[in-house]
Amino acid sequence: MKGIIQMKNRSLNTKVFFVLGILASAAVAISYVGLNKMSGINDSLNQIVGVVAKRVLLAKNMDADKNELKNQEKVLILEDTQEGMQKIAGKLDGIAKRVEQTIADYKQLANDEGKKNADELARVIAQWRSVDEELRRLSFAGKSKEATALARGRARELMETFDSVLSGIVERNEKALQDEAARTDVEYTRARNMVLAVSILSILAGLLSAFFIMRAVGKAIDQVISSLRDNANQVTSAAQQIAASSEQLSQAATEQASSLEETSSSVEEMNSMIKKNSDNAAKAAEISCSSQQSASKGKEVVGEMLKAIGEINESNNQISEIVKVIAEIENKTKVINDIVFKTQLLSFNASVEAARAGAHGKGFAVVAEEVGKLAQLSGNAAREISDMLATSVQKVNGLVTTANEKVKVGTEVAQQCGTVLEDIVEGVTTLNRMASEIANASQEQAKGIEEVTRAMTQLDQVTQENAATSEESASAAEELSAQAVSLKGVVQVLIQTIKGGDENQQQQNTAAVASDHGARVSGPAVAKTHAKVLHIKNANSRKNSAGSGAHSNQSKLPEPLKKAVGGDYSSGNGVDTTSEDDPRFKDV
Amino acid sequence: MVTRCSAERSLLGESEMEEMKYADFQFLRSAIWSLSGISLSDSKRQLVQSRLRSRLQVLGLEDFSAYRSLLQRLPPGHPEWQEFTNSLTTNKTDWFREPSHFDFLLSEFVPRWRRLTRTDHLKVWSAACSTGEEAYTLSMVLERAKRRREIGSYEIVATDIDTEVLKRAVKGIYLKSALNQIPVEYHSQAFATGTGEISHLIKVRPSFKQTVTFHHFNLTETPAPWSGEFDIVFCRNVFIYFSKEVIAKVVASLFRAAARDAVLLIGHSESLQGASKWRYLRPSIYTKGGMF
Repeated sequence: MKGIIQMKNRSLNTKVFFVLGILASAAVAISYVGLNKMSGINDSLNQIVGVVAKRVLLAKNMDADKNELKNQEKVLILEDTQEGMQKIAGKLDGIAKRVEQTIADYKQLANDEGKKNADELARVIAQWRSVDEELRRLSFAGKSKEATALARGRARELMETFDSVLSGIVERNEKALQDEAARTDVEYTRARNMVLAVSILSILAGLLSAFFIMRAVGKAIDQVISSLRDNANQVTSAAQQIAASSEQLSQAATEQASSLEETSSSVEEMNSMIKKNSDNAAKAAEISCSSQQSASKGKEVVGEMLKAIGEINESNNQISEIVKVIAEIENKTKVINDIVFKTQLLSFNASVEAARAGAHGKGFAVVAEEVGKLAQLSGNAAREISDMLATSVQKVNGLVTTANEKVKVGTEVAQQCGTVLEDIVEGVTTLNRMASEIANASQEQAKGIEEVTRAMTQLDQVTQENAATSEESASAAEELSAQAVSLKGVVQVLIQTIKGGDENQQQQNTAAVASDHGARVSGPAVAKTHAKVLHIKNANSRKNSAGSGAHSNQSKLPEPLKKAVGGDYSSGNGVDTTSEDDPRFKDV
Repeated sequence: MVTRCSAERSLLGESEMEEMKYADFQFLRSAIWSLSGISLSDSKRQLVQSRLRSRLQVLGLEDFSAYRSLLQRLPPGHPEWQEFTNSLTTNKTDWFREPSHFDFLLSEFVPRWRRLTRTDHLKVWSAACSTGEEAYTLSMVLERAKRRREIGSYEIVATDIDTEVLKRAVKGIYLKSALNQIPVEYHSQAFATGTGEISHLIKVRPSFKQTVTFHHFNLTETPAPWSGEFDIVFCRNVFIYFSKEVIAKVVASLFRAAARDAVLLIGHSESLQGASKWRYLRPSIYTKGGMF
């Protein structure tokens, strides 16, 4: 027991080798005992086969040869031809030699007593040979009666002696055989008992040590198996969770990528719009700038106009001066009128004086009359001038008054114009400033959105990459999950191998565990089934909608979707794998 | 030990992702342009690369050059072209996205439309409907208007170029978290909720689904098979992917499909870039007739 407790810390190899060692040493012990005893038995057998049996054999041979000798002797005696006799004599010689050789052989194998017997036999045969010589001689001489007598007498005696010695030998050796057989029996029984004892002992020892070691190993293996099974289950469920969350991650990343792509495209669109705005604002600024210049010019022109009006006013004033001058002229005309009146008075006086002077004054009277006429003309002219002047003054005064009024209005209008233009200039300046501001802002915005676009592009690329990567990691996770399930299968096989048990039962267990965690592993098959359902369902709904005949030009339209292009698609969230007819959808 | 090593190797192998050659990008870009009108700038190489990588995996191709030569051999109309298009479209959509549009419809458009038109059947086109959220949002909003007797009846035609998203739209199954985007008064009215293992899912009720017909349609295919039909056209966040020329073509096609007093609603960051018969009403809203 102590050894086995110590064995606990040894490797499985050591333990197995320990048991095997016990069994091997038992085998060695059994072999040793068996071989040992077998060699004893073998010795006995050798003794029996190689010595005793051979002795008996030789004795039998000798007996046979002796009989042959006796027979040939008789034949020799009965033979009447010399030739036949010679032939038989030769045979007899051969047999006799063989007997002698057999005796010699026997002597080699024989024990002391046997050797004596052999010598005896050799001696008997030698005597028989001499008798046989005599017998041949008699036979050749045709004395068959004597020969027969010799054969029945001396020769038979010798042969009987030979027989008795031989029987002794055979008898003794048969006894020896029986002794050897008895000894072998004993040896065998002993060997069997010993081998049985050693075998039982070593089997017991082997079983005992195997029992303890296997019990120790079995406990360890049980622990390993149970933790292996637990671990395999955990790994499977963890792998499936990873697969599920990877799938979700992948889906999210793909959605994010789509969102971002759309945002990115929107930003690009906005970018181009902002660029357009920026251009337009710049153009507006330019136009407002030139408007400002035009308005400024207008203001200048109005200023000039005001100046011109001022000048017109000035001219009016000058015209007033002229009126004054004309008034003065009128005054002066009054002087002329006075002068005309006085001249008329003078001419009248002169004509009066001329009339007084008579003939001498006659010419003077003509002059006076002419002067009077001139004065009359001057007076008329002066009156006309006076009238014209009065009219002129009146007209000019009217004109000046009107002009003054007009100038007043003109000035007012021009001043208003100036104000308006000033407002315009101010407005256009503001407009220009604003347009410039807009242009600048748009430019900045354009720059900004360019930055945003660049950032979006980068973000987009990274997100696309992430989406791809997460998709790949999702498929890797799927693979991992499948591997985990297969690992569980392997563990099951291992358990079955180690613990034994019903294969079907085991498989059922595996399947049950797999379906606990592995709903997604069997996804594609489920997806296919649902795809079929989808197809049928849509075909039906199409029939219904065609039946209701909502629209007259239905035939023109592209066929309502019933089945999209094939391809296995399945996302982890079950949106694609769940049928629309699933009874688990409930009204809430 | 061996398994772990091989797993590491395979993960490493996958992270060393195949880069797309510029020539391949050029080909794929012009292919998607002629298929769908989508314009992709140079900066979208990464996008194209990541979106098409799954095609390489599905088809068991080494790199994008192999994919390019595969596509070059395919006849037009081969299913892979659809897969290719599906992979490259952006399917961003939301419930009640840009809610001011729906407010406009209910509070401004519908009352005027009701006064000025003889019919009370309202027909709406959700062009580029993606996974159907917009179409079902319209369904919810218009159902409310119908119950208030603001309109008599309505129908929604929803189209998209991507068959994959249409599949989802037809099913009408969404994550329950989407309810966060939807006003609470619609929740129980419009959706059935999953129980048990699918308690994270919701499903659009058949009564709402019936009001929407989904079609596979490419907006750049002109003329569109509708003429003077739609009172409201939603084509939001589509033009951001198109060039000016394609926008002009699609906008003209939408104009033909729209009814006399129709309104067109586009994304808030989009503009029709002038040169169209649509009359600007306010940011992202245009009108065909003189109703406004």
